[in-house]
Amino acid sequence: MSTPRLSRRQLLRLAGAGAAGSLIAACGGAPQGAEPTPASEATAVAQPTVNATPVGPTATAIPLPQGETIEGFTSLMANPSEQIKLVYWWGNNYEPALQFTNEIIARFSNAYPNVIVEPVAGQNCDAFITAAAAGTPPDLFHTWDCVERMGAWARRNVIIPLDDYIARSKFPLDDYAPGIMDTCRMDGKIWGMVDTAGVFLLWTRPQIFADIGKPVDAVPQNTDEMWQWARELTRTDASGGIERLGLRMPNWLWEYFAWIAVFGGEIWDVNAGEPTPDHPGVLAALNDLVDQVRLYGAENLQRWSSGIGAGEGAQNPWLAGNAVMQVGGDWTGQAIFDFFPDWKFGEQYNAVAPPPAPEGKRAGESAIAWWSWPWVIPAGTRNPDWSWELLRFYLSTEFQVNVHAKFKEMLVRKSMMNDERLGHPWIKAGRDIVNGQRKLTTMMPMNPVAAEYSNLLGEAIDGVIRLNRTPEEAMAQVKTETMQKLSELKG
Amino acid sequence: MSTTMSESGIAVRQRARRMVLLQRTLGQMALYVLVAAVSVLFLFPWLWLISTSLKSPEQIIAVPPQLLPNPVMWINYYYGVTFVDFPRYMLNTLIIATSVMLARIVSCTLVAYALSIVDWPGKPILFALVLATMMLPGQVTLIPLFIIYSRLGWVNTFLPLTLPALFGDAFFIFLMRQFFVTIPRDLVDAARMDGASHFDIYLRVVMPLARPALATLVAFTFIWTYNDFMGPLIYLKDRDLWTLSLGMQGFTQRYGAGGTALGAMMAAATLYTLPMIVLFLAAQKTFIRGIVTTGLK
Repeated sequence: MSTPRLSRRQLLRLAGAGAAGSLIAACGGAPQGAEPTPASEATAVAQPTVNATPVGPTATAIPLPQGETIEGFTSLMANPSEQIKLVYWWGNNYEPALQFTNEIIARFSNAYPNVIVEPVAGQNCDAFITAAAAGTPPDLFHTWDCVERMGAWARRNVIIPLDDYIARSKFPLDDYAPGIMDTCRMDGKIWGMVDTAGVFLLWTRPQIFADIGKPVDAVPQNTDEMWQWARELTRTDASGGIERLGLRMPNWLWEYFAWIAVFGGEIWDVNAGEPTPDHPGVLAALNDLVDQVRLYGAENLQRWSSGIGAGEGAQNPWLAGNAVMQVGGDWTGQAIFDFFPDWKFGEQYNAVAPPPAPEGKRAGESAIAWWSWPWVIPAGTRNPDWSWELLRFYLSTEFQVNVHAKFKEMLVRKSMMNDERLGHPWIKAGRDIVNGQRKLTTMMPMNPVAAEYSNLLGEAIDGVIRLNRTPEEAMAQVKTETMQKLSELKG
Repeated sequence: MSTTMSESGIAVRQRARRMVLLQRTLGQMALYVLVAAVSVLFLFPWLWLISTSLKSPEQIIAVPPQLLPNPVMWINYYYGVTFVDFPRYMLNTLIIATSVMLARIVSCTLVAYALSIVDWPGKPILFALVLATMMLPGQVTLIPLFIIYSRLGWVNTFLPLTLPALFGDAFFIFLMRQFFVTIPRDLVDAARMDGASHFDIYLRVVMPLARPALATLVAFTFIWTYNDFMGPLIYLKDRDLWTLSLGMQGFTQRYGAGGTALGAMMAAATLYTLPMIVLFLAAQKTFIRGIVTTGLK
């Protein structure tokens, strides 16, 4: 008796039917009552209601103010007699963001009816440099993840300095929060204008503080105290494996920068134009991390990290309650909004300034790291004057407040950062830091080797916290290699 | 007595045969179990993808992870195809992948025929030159090609992604040439004796015999073109022209309230992989024979 076998043709038919069924189901509209259910207990600690409404392409336009005036923007040019098209590239490719932002961008035509802006989404550094090299760059480019390449682009005349435009239009540079424009200054010129910034905060799960007898509003006063709490909050299983970590270790470059900043470390000497990975503050920060890694065990931490995941999305161990504290960017707040919209600030989560390193451990003034996303005007654009005018529009209250309020991001202009439309708690926490007494640093000021230097630093610090090398050895090598790249550029 | 002996002899032989049969069956079973275990290992990421595509957001992030979705969130597939313009991107991708595939079948086989069947002076040198172009990494030619296509006015059209396929591809020319040289020369000579032209021999003798190698060419071309991200990113600016690989990027960028699209992203990714799986299953035997014959993978 032969066993009935599924022929390839039958299998393909089944696969086709399955695919067709899926597509029909998908295209048949949202079934009633099919909304995802509220969250059950995601973890033993966190019992959040996950924001279960998937985001579809349903962005809502903010209507123009009465009289169709553009908030905070005055036209400085005459409407051209013939139609002009400005091409704007940006890295984002997230559908609702595109729709909303495009609607705001379209308001530029309220000031200049004959100027059409064509936003092109999803454009990264490679697409930009290819088009720039071919002489067909966009009229304006949002650097997105390319900010570290700006120095190299400036040296190779890929982007133009904006000083003349800034002076001519009397743009108030002092309206920017101190230091944030360091990512756009090089060789005494300004090469870009900062759009928004990410500030690093200490994110805590205050309800879990009760485990060690701390009140929900408790804040560690320095890094030593933070580590002490972290150790007390850490839970291990019978075999010593970490189940819950008191403080998630920094695990990527910007988090390393945030850690180095609180120890007063500086990685670039602006006056000398040289890298300083061997700065005492950098070494102090890394040695402090190494001490903690040794305490928990590098392999144990690796196992925990690979078992839990360290992503910035829903799997983030801090969000999932597998870490009680973390030093992370203000975008963590966006993740809370996405995944746990019912969380209340001060109850389920808290965001405060990362504590400074103790006096005796740090080298220099403890700072808080932040990062910026600037716009640049490419060399070779057909209408640089119009590019600047469009950039001025993007810097207006109309664009800045509406767009960044929508996406819950920080503003970096003093005249706008206190706007009530930016009312999310973590944005306020970030704003308090910017308005406060602590020094802020972008860590990596604009320089011609920032991209290569960042890569070297990232790899070297990864090696250090895996205990493969000492901070001193690793940073000495980074310095040698970066200096070599600098001298190649000079040669 | 002799009957009893003979019966017992038969019984022994039957028992021995049963033992051999049992051993063979057990051996095969063990082999199947092993193959099934390895298959599950390789299939697991895909099964996890499908499982995640049917989970609610809280199931996706649940610790410990759950393999089986409960409840099953079919709605993720609705969001998967509506969150981005999935049908349009799929159509664009299929247009590009199919065009490149057809163009390469023509161009690469014609060049391979000339480099294998036809004798002409300088053939080895030209073959070496063709192979040498494989040494050039894509990054080296990216900007010069962009400049050329840009000046031709091809940027923001499918042309830079499809038309170059009409000029062959060193890897596939090599692949087809290696297969063509294995075709018995007698067949070609016989066709020549019958008065067939080179084009006749190419079309009626060589190509029908080259099905396994063609399947490899088709499968690789389709998969590489289907998954290409850099080419469409550089050349396609209008969202109506975007391919799936560009569209899928939108799922990975959480800018504002977008992180809840994880299930939708996995649903879209599942649908994204389907054409390639169907293609592979349809051409599986021929494809594997092609790899075996040409020694390429």
